[in-house]
Amino acid sequence: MVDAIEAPGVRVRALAPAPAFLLCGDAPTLALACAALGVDPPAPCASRAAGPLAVLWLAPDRLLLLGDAQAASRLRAPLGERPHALVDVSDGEAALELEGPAAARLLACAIMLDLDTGAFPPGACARTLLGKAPALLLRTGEARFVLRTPRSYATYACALLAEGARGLAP
Amino acid sequence: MIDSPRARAALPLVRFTFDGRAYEGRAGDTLAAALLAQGVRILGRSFKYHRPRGLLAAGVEEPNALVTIDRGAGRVTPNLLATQVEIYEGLAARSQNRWPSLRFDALEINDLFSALMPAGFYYKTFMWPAAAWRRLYEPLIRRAAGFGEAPREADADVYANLYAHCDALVVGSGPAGLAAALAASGRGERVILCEQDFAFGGSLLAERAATIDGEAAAQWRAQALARLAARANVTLLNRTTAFGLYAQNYVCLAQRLSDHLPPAQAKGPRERLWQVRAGRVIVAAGAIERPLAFECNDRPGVMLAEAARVYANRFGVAPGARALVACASDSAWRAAFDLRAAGVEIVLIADARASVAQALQDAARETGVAFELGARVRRAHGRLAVKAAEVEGAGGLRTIACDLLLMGAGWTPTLHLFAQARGPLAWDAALGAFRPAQAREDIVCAGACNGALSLAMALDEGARAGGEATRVHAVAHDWPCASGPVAPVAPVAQGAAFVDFQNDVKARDYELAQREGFVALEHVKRYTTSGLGADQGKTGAINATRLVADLSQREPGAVGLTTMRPPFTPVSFGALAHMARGPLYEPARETPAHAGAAARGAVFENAGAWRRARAFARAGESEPRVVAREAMAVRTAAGLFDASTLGKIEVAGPDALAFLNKIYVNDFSRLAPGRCRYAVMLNEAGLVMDDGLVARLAPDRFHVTTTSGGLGHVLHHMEDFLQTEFTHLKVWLVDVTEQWSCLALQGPRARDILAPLVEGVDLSRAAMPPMSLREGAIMGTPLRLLRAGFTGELGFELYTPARFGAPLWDFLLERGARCGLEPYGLEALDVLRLEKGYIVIGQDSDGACTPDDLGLARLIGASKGDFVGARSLRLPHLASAGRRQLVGLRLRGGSRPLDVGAQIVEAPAPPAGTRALGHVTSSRVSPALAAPVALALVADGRARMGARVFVTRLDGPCEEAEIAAPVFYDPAGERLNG
Repeated sequence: MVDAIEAPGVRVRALAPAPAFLLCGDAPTLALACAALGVDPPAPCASRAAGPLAVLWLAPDRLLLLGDAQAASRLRAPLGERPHALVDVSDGEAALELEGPAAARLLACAIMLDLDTGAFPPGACARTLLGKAPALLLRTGEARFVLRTPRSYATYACALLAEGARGLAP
Repeated sequence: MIDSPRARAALPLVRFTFDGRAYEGRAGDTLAAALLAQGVRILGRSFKYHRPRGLLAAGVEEPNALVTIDRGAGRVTPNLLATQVEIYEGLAARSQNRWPSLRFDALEINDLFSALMPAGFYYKTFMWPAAAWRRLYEPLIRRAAGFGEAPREADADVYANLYAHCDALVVGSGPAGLAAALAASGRGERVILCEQDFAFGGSLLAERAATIDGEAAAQWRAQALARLAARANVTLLNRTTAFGLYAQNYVCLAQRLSDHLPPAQAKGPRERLWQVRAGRVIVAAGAIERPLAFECNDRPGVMLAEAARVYANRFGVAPGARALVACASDSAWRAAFDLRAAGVEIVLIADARASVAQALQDAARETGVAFELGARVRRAHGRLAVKAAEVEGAGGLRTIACDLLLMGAGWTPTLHLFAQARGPLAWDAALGAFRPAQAREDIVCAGACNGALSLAMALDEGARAGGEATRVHAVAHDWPCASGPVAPVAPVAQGAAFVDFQNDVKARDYELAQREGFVALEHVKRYTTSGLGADQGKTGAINATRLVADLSQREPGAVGLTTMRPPFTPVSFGALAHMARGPLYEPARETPAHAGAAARGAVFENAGAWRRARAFARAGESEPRVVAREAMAVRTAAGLFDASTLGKIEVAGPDALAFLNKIYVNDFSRLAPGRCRYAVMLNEAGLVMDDGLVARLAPDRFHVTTTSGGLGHVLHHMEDFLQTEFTHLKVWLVDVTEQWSCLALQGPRARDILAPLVEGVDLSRAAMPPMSLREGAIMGTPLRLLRAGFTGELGFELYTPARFGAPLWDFLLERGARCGLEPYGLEALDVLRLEKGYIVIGQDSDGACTPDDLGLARLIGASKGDFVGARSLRLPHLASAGRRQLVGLRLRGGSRPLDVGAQIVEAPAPPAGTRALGHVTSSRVSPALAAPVALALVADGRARMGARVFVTRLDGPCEEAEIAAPVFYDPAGERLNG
């Protein structure tokens, strides 16, 4: 696996493994969890951040809690006996960060989403495909993205982005 | 504008070669323009008759001038259009379909015998003997016909891909396209403007006289481009062909990035595929001039009138000295006048129409150009170049000397993209062609491709399509654009009067097709090969329709057009594949311990996208020996297997148990936390879909495994039922396949190896019986430990978070070495599981097996109530006699395994037509039993225990076998329970 890709206008680097929990439940349960974590419930295909924690909307009954190892224990008491599922998925995905004015253009070599800031503003997130790999894309800034792929696809994802970087110019 | 020899002479020289000969062109030339300027008239040989051919056109519709461009090893491209290839210093171009040379081609002899080779002659002539077709006739025909040779070396170039989104995609940058792009981008829309040519401007590039808003056309074009380039919401793409328009305005563009540069300067990708999602598509693709059909209308020097105008006005190249214009359209007159201004003598305008606009006649008289109305060219003379033309007019037939014979029968809108999108077409008699019957809401044709042939109309339509309701461009010196209604193919067209130039289809071939009863145009196309060329009949299709209509006395609108399919022009395979080549063709999924396995000599194989260790070879060991060694290590000591590819799903929520009881046949009600069970799921038809283990972590949490390849459809199946049928259940499914590494430690020494290494788990028989689950730790990392396996031995599956998979693999192999622990691969696993009669879904089952067929009826929870597939299992045919049941096969002697898939019959040499009893599903040589063993599906198999059957062999007589229980090793399960 490539650790970093440098191309004109964009830098790709592998992010260190981060804590990740998948929280499933009905809407009131998810709202309760968000309140306990100190964020507003994210809108569909959007995320909310609070300190190191990012809460990503994945589906109507599903949030991904990224970056806070204590997130699960912080939710234990507030969620109590409410029906929900909280699963540690910290090892399931590998993450890359893409940064630079050409980051969206590089992603567009393999992601078919409209990455214009109007359509996919900072904070937006979506499950999609990177070439033939499943992917979760999160925009963390105008020119910064986090791309998560299942661990076994990480080599492919990096190689694909490296090839995409070769295709950026001219 | 390079509209004069003087302007041309001021351009930098560019040297290139054609068929090895050195030539000089000028910067901005296409190969066609440069060769024409150098007096080269023959650029190719025709497809079937090998007739010498020159340039017919100046753009993408060119049917004749196909060349091969050689840019070095792995960079040879055949069948490029000389009218599209840009010359650069050192360009090496080759002609095609000729031997030994363009001027003398041995196969031109075909032309002499052309009367013997009418449409369909292949089918009629090469009928006998049948065997000769493949060995003799087809190779010969393929050698004789056809164009460039496919490259033999791997493509050395890089190709790029880009997904793009826009509000308006404008295809074509002529007056309509520019006006549309200006209007749409002026409203703030995101606009992509693509142009297949290297220069933007379309027809404006050859416009001498007209002015737009008071500016010369060239000036207006330059200003329009500057305005577009300055807008951040506009993407301008030249050298970019929109070749396919698919559902929901998904449009594919091929952008050529570096073929116009000398190879040494070509950096980065060669081409880029743009996959565009457009809010709306404005097709401003222009129109293609129609040729006329007369005898020898394919001789070099016979050219479309507008093409000659383009060569003169855009490239400063006079395509001849003495031109005769054969036409039925106003635009050909304009071409004649422009050529005359460029110094070409116009010997005659022979217009087939009885009357033309007075303005044209006046203009001709003013400039002293002779014209004749109601006159038709009947024949061109000259072989390697046109020398004269026979004109039939009021004064009878006369022969007029010329070296350029221009044709112009009117204009055919370029409707390919619109038609690809299933836009409706209608016959327009005035236009003499089809045009869009109505615009679609999100696909609009504007300008010449909508039949708006004048400059003013094109600008208007473009601006309107772009969203500007009011703006009108003031155009002066516009040109009348009438044509027809003369049929472009004369009813008496005989001999070599070509309709489809690229595929060598003559007017009389259509007559033959008509005589032989081909009515539908699609049938005529297949019979005559009209329109089957790489140009898809860009110049010929419309004339074919009119000819077929005349021959069958139908309206052209009733005859229609043949289906227009993508791509509009040929697209390189490289662009279509773009990044998906070599290792990027498909993701190679690697398990966490992949590198560790590779370090121990693993040979990997593809299992879906996964790379799985097939065997761990040692130097000098043959694969059967490796497999036997690994299998025996598991039977006698211990083996370690990487099972991380298993699908893993966490099923959590208060209704998890109720949900699993509905999805699997098993009843898990009495499955206590800390226990697991082998489970089978059915589809709604009652047939086995997948199997795996269901382990209960807690009252409301289960850890479920699926087969490695089954995860996707199992998860989909579960979600499908959860979201549509069992919506009342509070349960969630989380795919944790990649979260957990799974290593299987199997064999009689497994407990000895593991016991000192795990923390917090008592591995003893009493504390941890088979099919139990414990949570503990190993190497300080959390561990889910299952006492289970697929080998029939005492064994454990160790689930750890994925990042610990690699270190645990090495740790276990190191610590277990003194107990004889060895890694084993898929091959050994297959032997071990077959010895125990464990089935592999999809190998031993075939999608039509019930649990009972596979001997798994005992798993069904009879009292638990309904589950998916339960109702179907009650259907009589799923329980009837004669169903194929899983059994074992024992061979009477022999050491070769049976062939998987071999048929099973009752007699050793069954007569043809005998129905097989069943087939072999798995077969191996068992090292533990030192004998071949197999599993099979056999009709009423369990009632045939001990029966003698015969199994077919691919390479010899049937082999005798005995039907046995499908468990060959340790049938009592003592080892498993040890």
